[in-house]
Amino acid sequence: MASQGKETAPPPPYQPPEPAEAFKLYAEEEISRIRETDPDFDPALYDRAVALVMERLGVEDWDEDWDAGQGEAS
Amino acid sequence: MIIQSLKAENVLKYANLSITDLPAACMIGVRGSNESGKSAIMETLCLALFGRTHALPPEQTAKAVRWGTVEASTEVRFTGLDGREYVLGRYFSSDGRRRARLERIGGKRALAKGENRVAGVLKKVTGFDYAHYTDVVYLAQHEWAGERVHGATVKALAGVDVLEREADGFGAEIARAEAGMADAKAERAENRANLEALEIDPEALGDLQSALDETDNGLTALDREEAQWNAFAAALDRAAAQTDQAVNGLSEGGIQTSLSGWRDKVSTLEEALNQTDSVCHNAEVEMDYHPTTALKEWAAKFGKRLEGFSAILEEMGGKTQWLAAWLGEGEAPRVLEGETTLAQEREAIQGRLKKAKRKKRFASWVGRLFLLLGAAGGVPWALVRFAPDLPQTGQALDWLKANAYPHLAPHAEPVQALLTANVPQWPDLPEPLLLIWAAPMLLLWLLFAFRSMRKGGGVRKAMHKVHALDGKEGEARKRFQTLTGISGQTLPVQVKTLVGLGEEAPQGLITSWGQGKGRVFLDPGALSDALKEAGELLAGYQGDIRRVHEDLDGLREEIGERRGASEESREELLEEIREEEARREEARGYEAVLEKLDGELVAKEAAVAAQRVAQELLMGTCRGLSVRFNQEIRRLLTDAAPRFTEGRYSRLRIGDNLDVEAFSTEKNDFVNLDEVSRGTQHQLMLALRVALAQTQLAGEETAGQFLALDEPFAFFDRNRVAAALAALPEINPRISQFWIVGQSFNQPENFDFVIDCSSESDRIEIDAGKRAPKVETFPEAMATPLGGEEPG
Repeated sequence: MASQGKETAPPPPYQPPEPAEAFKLYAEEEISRIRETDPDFDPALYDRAVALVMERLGVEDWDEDWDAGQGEAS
Repeated sequence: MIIQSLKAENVLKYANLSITDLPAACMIGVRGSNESGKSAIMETLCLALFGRTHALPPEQTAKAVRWGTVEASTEVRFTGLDGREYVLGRYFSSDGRRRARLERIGGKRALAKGENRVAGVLKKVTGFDYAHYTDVVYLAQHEWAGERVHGATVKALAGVDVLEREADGFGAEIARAEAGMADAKAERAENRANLEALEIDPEALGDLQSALDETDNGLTALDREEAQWNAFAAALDRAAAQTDQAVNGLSEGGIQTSLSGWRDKVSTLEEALNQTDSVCHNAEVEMDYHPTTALKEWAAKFGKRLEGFSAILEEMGGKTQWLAAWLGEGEAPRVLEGETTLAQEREAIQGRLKKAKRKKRFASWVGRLFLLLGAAGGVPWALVRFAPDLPQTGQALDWLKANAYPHLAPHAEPVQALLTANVPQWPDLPEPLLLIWAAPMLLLWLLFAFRSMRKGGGVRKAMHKVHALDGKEGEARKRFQTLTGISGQTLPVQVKTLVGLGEEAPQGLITSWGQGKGRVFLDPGALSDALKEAGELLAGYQGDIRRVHEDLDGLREEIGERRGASEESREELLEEIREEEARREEARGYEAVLEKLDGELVAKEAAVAAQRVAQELLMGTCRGLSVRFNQEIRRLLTDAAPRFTEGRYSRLRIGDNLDVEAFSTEKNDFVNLDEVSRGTQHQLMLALRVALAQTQLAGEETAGQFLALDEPFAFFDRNRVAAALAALPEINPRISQFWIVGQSFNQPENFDFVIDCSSESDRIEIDAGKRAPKVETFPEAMATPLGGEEPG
């Protein structure tokens, strides 16, 4: 290619994470943080919220290794 | 995605467009004057890839069919993200019919047919849909002014689109739920207000029901009272009828009525009057008048008149009883205490008669025996004495000597001796023996004959007593029959009968009664007067009964008025109860709604709480991803921006509102793109496009990418054009194919191919593989557009 410039090393590509994975990761961290800081923490509420999102994202069996809320996810 | 070839027939201005065998890495220039068809090539590429152009709304895509023709077709061959080659063919008609087919070159079957399926597969193959493409790859000419990258594209690139869409969805759901809850709360408040406005008194219905029960009880009592009065009236009528009948019955038969008949009539009258009193008493009626008093007094007085005759008849009854007992018609031992009955008397007399007869017969028989014995001695003696010559006399003496003498001689000799001594010429024996035998026998005969005669007198006397007793019995039976028959006789006949009994009846009493108190029963005139008085008293009685009925009518009327008032009150109470029940039903409805709303609100609040947390977690996730994406964009822009701005702007960032801000090294701060010149804006946006395109090439395994820039350098000066053309291929080697549209190029040597467009021609056919790179010298006359000043 006539107009090709000098070769530069491409930066590591940015790869958008899977939405469910990104959400689950963030939710685990956030819930852990809230659990430690909020005396009124309601684990069941957060479990329901996470379950709700996961349901919307079409993810099944998301709670197999889920222990962030330790409430009753439904 | 790298374009290998683009073919089109009857699309936009081109009857035929054929650009084939394009290298994966090349700078393609498309140039021409206004209306020469430069942008039409880019639009044809867009149409071939996504079935629509950028300039035409989707619903007007049919207008892309070349004027004067009815059908158009496109075919684009490209290298996908996976490095494989694909061909996408489309068909359009001016009446809106469309077809699409995507194949992998070398594949046996189409990957997708039909626009929707092709679009879905195309996104997987290229990483683009139309919006994404126009945001990242294809920068159309008219977008340069005020250009903003679509947020959706950036979000998709950042990987937050799905999460943010869900967060937005939750936000919308929360908003709807909160609106619904607000409505529900408003409805709840309205229901509460309505419920409170009803001011339901829990005891009101019970009070009304109690009042209704009390009213019903009152009505029942009125009915009962009326029934009692009706029953009283009926009973009074019956008693009055009985009284009327009894009084009228007094005159039936006149004086030809027996004592018992009078008694029965008086008793019937008294019973009727007593019935009247009983009816009044049972009805507990307090009356100012006493209908029965006068008649009762009359009846008592009338009945008392019978008492004298009753005493007489009673006395006669005693006699009748005595006679019955004496005659054996009945048992009356007390009546005959110490006395004998007829049968006893008859038995005694019959006993004496029988005894007398027996003694008489005995004396008669014994006398006859002695007569016979005397004759047995006397007859021979007479024969001996007075007919001694008869043979029979000798025979008798012979027999006597032979048979009797031996036995009698011892006993007769003393007597013979005595007689011989005392009686001269007393014959010798055996002749005296006959006389001695016959004389005592005859003497005994005489003795018993006398006794028999005396006993015959006793028999006759007894027979006389028997006859006397028969007569007495006959008389007694006659009186008994008279007395027993007297009860069935009319009172005057009874009197006459009693009088006929003579001394057997108390004639003095009968006479005095008949002339005194009893005259009314014997004298039709007196009876008529008495009954007339009774009739007058009956009229008074009936008048009183009528007054009682009038009083009863008044009571019934009063009851009717009370009933009317009670029924009116009852209707009012029923209406009030209906209203209260309706109010309660309404209240229950409000309560049910409130309960439902409370339940719904609790459920919605719980749901909203979860949705809110979900939204917060999603937004937190998005923020985190956005930060990371911004860092990436910043990194990419940090490299690209200085290249396009001659180092004046080193950094770009995309804010939370997706506005692009640039860091001005001159101002040492981030500035909004509106604050910089139009040319700088285009430079920065070009850098941003390149950066965004780089993010599309995130996967190391992905193939290269082309960029289509329609007149990107319109506001660039010569240096900026040169810098941009130099910078474009250097940003990222994997962004290797550039389609750049311009009216003219000052430095055509920077292009590998230049496609000249002319308003005179509707055909372009370029086979890049057979054609040497065409480097044209940019005509001086056409340098003006690219040499323009930067707008302020």
